[in-house]
Amino acid sequence: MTSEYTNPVPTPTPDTQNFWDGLKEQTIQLKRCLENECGRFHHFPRSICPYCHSTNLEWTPVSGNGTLYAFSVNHRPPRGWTENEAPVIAIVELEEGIKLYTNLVNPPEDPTTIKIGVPVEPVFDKVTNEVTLLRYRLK
Amino acid sequence: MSAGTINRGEFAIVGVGEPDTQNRVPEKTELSMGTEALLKAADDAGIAIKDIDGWFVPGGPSPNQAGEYVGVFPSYADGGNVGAVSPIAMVGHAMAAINAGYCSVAAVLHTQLSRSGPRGGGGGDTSSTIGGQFIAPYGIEGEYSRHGMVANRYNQTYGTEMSGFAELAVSNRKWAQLHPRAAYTDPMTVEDVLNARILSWPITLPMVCPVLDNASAIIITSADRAKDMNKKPVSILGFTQEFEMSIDFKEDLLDWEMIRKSGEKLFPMAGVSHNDIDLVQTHDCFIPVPILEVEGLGFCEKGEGLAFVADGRTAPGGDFPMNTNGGGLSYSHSGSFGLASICDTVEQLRGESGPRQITDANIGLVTGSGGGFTTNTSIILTNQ
Repeated sequence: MTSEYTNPVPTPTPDTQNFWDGLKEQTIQLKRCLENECGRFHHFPRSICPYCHSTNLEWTPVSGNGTLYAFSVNHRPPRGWTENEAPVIAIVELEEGIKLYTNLVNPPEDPTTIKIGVPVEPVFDKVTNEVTLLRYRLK
Repeated sequence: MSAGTINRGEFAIVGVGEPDTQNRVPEKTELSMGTEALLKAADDAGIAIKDIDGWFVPGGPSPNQAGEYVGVFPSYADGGNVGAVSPIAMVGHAMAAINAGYCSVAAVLHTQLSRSGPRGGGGGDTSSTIGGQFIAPYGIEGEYSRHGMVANRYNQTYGTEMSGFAELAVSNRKWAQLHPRAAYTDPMTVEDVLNARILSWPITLPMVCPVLDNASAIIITSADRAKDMNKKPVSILGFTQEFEMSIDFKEDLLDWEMIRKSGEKLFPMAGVSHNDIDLVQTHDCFIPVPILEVEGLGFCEKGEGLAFVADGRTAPGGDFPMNTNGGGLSYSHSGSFGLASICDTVEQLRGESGPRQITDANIGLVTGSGGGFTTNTSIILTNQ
């Protein structure tokens, strides 16, 4: 099936390559500041900490576990979207404090009944040979 | 120094920086290369990045994108595109802004990978942009899908319902029905709004502004010159522009820091209180935004915005008139927004609004949030 995937896929840049390479190996790596007084994770990956402006950063593996922060059911997804008619789009807040956009892969029949704040876990979705997307499953 | 003048010798360039390598650098992004230059300039000047409160980013990435990347959330920014010499022009813009008191430490940053790009956005393949990598692959398209998440989180957090948001769209429609140039004037009920086509649940079509043709213009001059003009001047009492992470990367989806900061600065600057404001023009591009604006600017507490505008308070005849031309939802929205709201406010303050005229309209506030919702800008105007 992977060769038939036609939805938008990311093209990594030097700033983000490790993140996408990590997903292919089923690991989630985030950029973390190494300054003692900061130490925060950030996302999307940058070459500078957007909180304290240090460039002393490290790719750090995380579990990817988190909670559902927000979601919607997008009845008008991007042009050319073919995966499903109305994807459940979501923001997940990770244990490390960062938030990221994703999809819920196992919504109930009526997704509008989902409650924010529930726990979620990562799903490594290999959509092409080159790209694995980070999606999420309601626990 | 007299107000409105910039004297020679009053400003200086205190730091410069360039990246270690350039010209052919496919290993860099526009924003990582720009960051190198910025860090070197800050180091050269002996300042911290957080000292920068004026942000001038011509060409390449927008000030919003560059600010979000580096973590610079200034009180004044300009990405003014005046052609190839924009970086030079920005020096003048920066002086003007400092002279006006909008900022005190200005950074002018230009970065563009014209050989090894494109990676900064724009036309063509956008799959390597931040949006192309972290947003589009998940089927998130258009601002309405973000606002579906905002509205849903709002309702689940505060125990509110979409009918409250729908009522605001209905109130705006009632203003539009009194305006000869409004785009949408058909009668509309709360039920009509709720039962309309779903874009991104729970957001329906009438909760999202259309994109239409629209033009507006205003003339600004000094108070001295204004005395000789045709009409009684409408004075600008205060101006703010504040920045934070975009709607895609905010700390709190229901409490936008940029709006809160705007409100905290705007009222003391203008020397008025919330109770002095006779009308408010919000940016009703997507229906949660005006609610977050009235809450963030301090007209009511967080989570009380829907109750605050309920029962037609913002509609014609209400005691909190808002979006008095019909707003982006029913009057017009070109993709850019705000100038028509200023025109409408000026007419209200001059008593020229005909059937829409508010009694004793003396002080008006115009606010707008945009740029991927990285920024809020607000002004207070008066006829006094």
